[in-house]
Amino acid sequence: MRKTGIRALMVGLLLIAGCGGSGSEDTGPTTVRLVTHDSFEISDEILAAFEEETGHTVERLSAGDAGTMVNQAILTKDNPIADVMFGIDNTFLGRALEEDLFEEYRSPGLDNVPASLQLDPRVTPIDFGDVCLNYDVAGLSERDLPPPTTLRDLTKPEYSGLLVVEHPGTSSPGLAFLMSTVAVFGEEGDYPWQSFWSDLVANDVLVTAGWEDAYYGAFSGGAGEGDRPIVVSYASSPPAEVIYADPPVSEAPTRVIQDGCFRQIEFAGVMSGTPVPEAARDLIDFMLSLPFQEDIPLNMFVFPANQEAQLPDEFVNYTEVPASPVLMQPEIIDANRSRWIEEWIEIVATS
Amino acid sequence: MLKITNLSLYFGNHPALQEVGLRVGKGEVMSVLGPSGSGKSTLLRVIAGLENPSTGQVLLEGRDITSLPPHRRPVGLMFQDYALFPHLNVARNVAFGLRMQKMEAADIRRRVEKVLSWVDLSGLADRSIGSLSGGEMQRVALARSLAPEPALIMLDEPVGALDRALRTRLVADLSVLIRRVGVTVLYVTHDQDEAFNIADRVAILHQGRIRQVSTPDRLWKQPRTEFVARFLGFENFGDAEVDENGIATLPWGKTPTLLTAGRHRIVIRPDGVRLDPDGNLNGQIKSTRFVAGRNRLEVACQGSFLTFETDQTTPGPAADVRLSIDPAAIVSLEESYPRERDDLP
Amino acid sequence: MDRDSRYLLGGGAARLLAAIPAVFLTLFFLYPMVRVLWRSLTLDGSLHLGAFTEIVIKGSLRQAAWFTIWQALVSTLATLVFALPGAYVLARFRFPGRGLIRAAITVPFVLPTVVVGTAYLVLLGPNGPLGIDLRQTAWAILIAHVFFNYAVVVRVVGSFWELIDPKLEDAARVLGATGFQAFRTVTLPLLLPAISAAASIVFLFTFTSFGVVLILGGFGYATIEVAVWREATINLDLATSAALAVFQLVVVSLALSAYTRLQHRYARHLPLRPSAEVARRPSTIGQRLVIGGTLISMAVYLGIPIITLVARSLNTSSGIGLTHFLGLFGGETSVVSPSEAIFNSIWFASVAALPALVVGMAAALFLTRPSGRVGSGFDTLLMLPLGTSAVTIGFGFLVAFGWPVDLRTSAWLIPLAHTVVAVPFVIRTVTPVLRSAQPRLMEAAAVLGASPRQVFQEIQLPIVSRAALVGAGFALAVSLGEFGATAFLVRPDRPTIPTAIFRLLGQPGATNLGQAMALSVILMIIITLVILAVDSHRTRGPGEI
Repeated sequence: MRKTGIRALMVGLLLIAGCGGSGSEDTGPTTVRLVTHDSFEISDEILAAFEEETGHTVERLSAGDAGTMVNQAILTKDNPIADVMFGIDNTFLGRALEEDLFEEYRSPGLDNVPASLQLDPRVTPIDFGDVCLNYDVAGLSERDLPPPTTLRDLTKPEYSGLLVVEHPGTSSPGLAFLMSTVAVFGEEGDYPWQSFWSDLVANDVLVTAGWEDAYYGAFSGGAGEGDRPIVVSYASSPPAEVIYADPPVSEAPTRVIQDGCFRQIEFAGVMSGTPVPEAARDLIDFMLSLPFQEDIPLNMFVFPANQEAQLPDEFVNYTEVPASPVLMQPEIIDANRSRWIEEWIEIVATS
Repeated sequence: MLKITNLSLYFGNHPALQEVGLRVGKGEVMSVLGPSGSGKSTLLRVIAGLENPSTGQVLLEGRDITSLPPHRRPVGLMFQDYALFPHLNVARNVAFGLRMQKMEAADIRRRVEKVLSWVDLSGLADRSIGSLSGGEMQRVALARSLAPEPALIMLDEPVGALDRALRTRLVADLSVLIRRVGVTVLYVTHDQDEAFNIADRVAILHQGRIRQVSTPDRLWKQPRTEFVARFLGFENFGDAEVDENGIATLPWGKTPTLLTAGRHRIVIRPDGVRLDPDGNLNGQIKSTRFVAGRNRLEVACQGSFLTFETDQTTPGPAADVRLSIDPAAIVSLEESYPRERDDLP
Repeated sequence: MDRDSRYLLGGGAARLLAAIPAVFLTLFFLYPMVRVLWRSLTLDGSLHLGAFTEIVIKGSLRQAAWFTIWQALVSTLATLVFALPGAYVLARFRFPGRGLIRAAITVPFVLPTVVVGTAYLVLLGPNGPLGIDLRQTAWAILIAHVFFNYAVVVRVVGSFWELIDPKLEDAARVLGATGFQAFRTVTLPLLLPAISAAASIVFLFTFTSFGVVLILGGFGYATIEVAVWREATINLDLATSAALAVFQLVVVSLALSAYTRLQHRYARHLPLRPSAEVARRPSTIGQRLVIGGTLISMAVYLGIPIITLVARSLNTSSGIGLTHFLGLFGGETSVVSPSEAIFNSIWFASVAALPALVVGMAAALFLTRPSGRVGSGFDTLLMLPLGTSAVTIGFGFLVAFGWPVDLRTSAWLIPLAHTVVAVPFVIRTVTPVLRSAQPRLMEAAAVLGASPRQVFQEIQLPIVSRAALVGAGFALAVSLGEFGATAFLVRPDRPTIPTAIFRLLGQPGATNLGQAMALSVILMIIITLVILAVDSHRTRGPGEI
């Protein structure tokens, strides 16, 4: 596997191809490599302001979804591909911490971040969002149904055939929803989460692979073209429906159910072994600063971690941050994730 | 001009050619005649350089070309299935060999025009190969192999795929054309008429061995072995006991011969027997057939059949007749090769 | 001494031919794959062989393996049944619009599965035209697989069919065979090399099917590919993921070597005809009916999902209009830059297609040498990238290319990954044509004084170029539509059309959906134009090459 011949050939070919790599530099103007998941979005001028201010250059890298990004980092931890990672959430955080992917750093900006979001000194919370049930306002009123107020309501006969959820084994919001049912119903007792899911299956729940097909293919609210009025989505989906509405609307066509929301916190971290730790820390500080934080909601449809940040009107008017979302410790998630999914498949596939 | 010595080629354990020797003179038309599977095409492929012989040499104009790759050999080969290039039109097919020689474009044009006029295809230069008839394809293939002026041109069953009438005419045309061009020709066929019509000399090939090389005339008059005779269509084989006076005792009776005294394996040519009231053989007609303008008779003499052709009017079956045999038509055969009868096509 | 070395490129050149694909695949496929699998199985320093036993023990994985093989076989068969009439009609008849149809059927092949998936969820749902709910059934998977792979069969088989002399079938008819008998006894056996080549590609595609199974199959159906992905990205269990990937490779290799043996047995030399002379105008009513029927079923089968997407892209609040298209380019609301994505896609596709063509042609020429006693191993290796999980390829690049030059975050890795996936397509389209080209033609050229190099240049290359253009079309299409491996690469933020569509679909809202559909329609138009351009070269008459 480590044949020098192959490597020599490779060097030769690469030189012929004339494509040089982007090496990291220790001197001169510093380049900070920022790896993010595919959904990362920030206004160009915000990033430009940071580069102007610090003299650092930010090289942006995309890396698939959050799980892919973490695995990529694990596979390359001897020779990291980036200096800063953004977008790892509490679902995958445990695994990353176990592999020591990040260096400890406490940004001064953390003073303005609620303690509940600060899960580990090695990573810095940047934003959070809640995976919540959304419902189609028109769809439910057509059926003369009130929106369900608790998860348990969904097992009632009147809500039969109305819910679409994502597969926890293939979708991040699907996994979040599964974990929130675990948290709400518990693993033991009279009515554990497994019983709840058996009842949901009996009540004709539809499972899709990903959020896109659930929301656009099966959900009837907003831009969805399906037939089911209740879907697992985000607390920020109603404002998005307003912002991207066509034609413009004054009321959100969808709303959030407060019970059973699961909080996903997105973190940034300085990668272990970075050659430019100073610049990496500067970038983390910048991510917690107000310009960046206030740019987050309309680009990524999540809430800024910095409490000082002003929310855009749509976020104020069309949704609210759930009062008591499920917040699960990364270690618990990491220890049980696989087992929960297996059990869930067992329940859903066999009942 | 072309000299082949001791050529052998084995495919695995199977001998395709064995100790083949052959000389072809400059401007000579040599036909290689043999049944299918006798090694004719393989011989051409070896001369063209498409196959490597296991042993032996190929000399062309005194030069040993045995180890030259095909494209360095000044030979042309026209394939049985023509192998015209489907992606090139008629003119570009003919020009192919010239382009390989890096000839000037203007010269190529002139040469292609000339060669196409030889084969009467001047009007078809721009046609695509797919739109040609069988006869036209044959002539394009011929023109293509003639165009680069090879020292030797080899034709592999060049008219084999065509209908009989067309074949006869084309063989005649071909005969005229190759003599006009003055090229040395190796002409492979399984059809004896074709070979006899076109060739100066004929080489009989059987099971990878050359059995006899002669002019058509001599080959007919003096087939050397039973195989050759059978291949030429001779049927009257037998053993002869010849006394000092040249009188032979044959299965059909006694008759004079030109043979030396002793035992001989002989064949009587079909043209050497005639109905003759004074003849010294007695027989009874078993069958008569009319073949190509002549009568073909089967006569039982002393219980053995004698087959011959004659222009004479003949009585019907079951008639008793007397026959005489031209002493020169009784040919003594060499027995150097085992008698084979089952391998004829 | 090699029997054929006399007129074909000699031993050295043949070795060079073999070396091109061998070096390419070793460097950019085998090496990264072995590196990542090894690293995944030895993450904490010891070898996790337990991951393999777990596959066998775990019921859900065993089930996934069976389902994977089953659905791949059935999907392949169904695609052949549906697409062969299409290949026949497009290869054998000339009629107005033939070129456009032939280009348009490639559209499904490049559409991102997530786009088609959402359309199918609606079409196969209770409110769809069928009126029955086929969501989350094996039927939905089969229907979508046929949709996506239709073009593979039509193009691979059709490009070969075009070269078969129709007189052969005429001969059979004259000998008393009915039309169908003539097809079954003459054309079908001659087509087998191409059919098996197409089938092998469809089999590999459906074997490693990911998006379709995820979106349409629901929780009841999972392929090994889905399991690989799930272990890697949700469970974060790289060892199990790698073990599954190895298992998948083993199954794929076994299937491929069986296929290679079949391919060798059925290869025949054929007198090939220029395609212009093979296609006829329909003359009888029966022929018109066959053509009409095939085109209508094609329109229904391929057209409805596509029309659904087009309709969605034009469907705006103020009726039918171009709002979403205009919004993509001028609007404030768009989250991606579509012109940048289009530019990137076309650029990557062009960069990927050329090496794919060179590597694929070299491999095909080497595989089809008349004396070629190539073990089926090499043939199998060449096809393997199609049967490899996108996760493995993506992660493999990452692990392998950090040294000596750090290429892991280079934009060049995207077209490189596309090339790796496209090479098997080029090989599979070129090989049947080359295998059937008569060695006699090369011999004739050699006797006429063409050196081995000239034989290659003047005979083999022109004959193969028609087939190569089909391969090139596929290479471009693969690159334009590729999403799987791209998603697993770490890359500078340069969206391609599929990733831009994905990002638009990642947010709720009517505008995002509309613009995603509009961008999908743009992708359809681009691929149609690309294939039209490629085909216009392919169908030029003989003598002009």
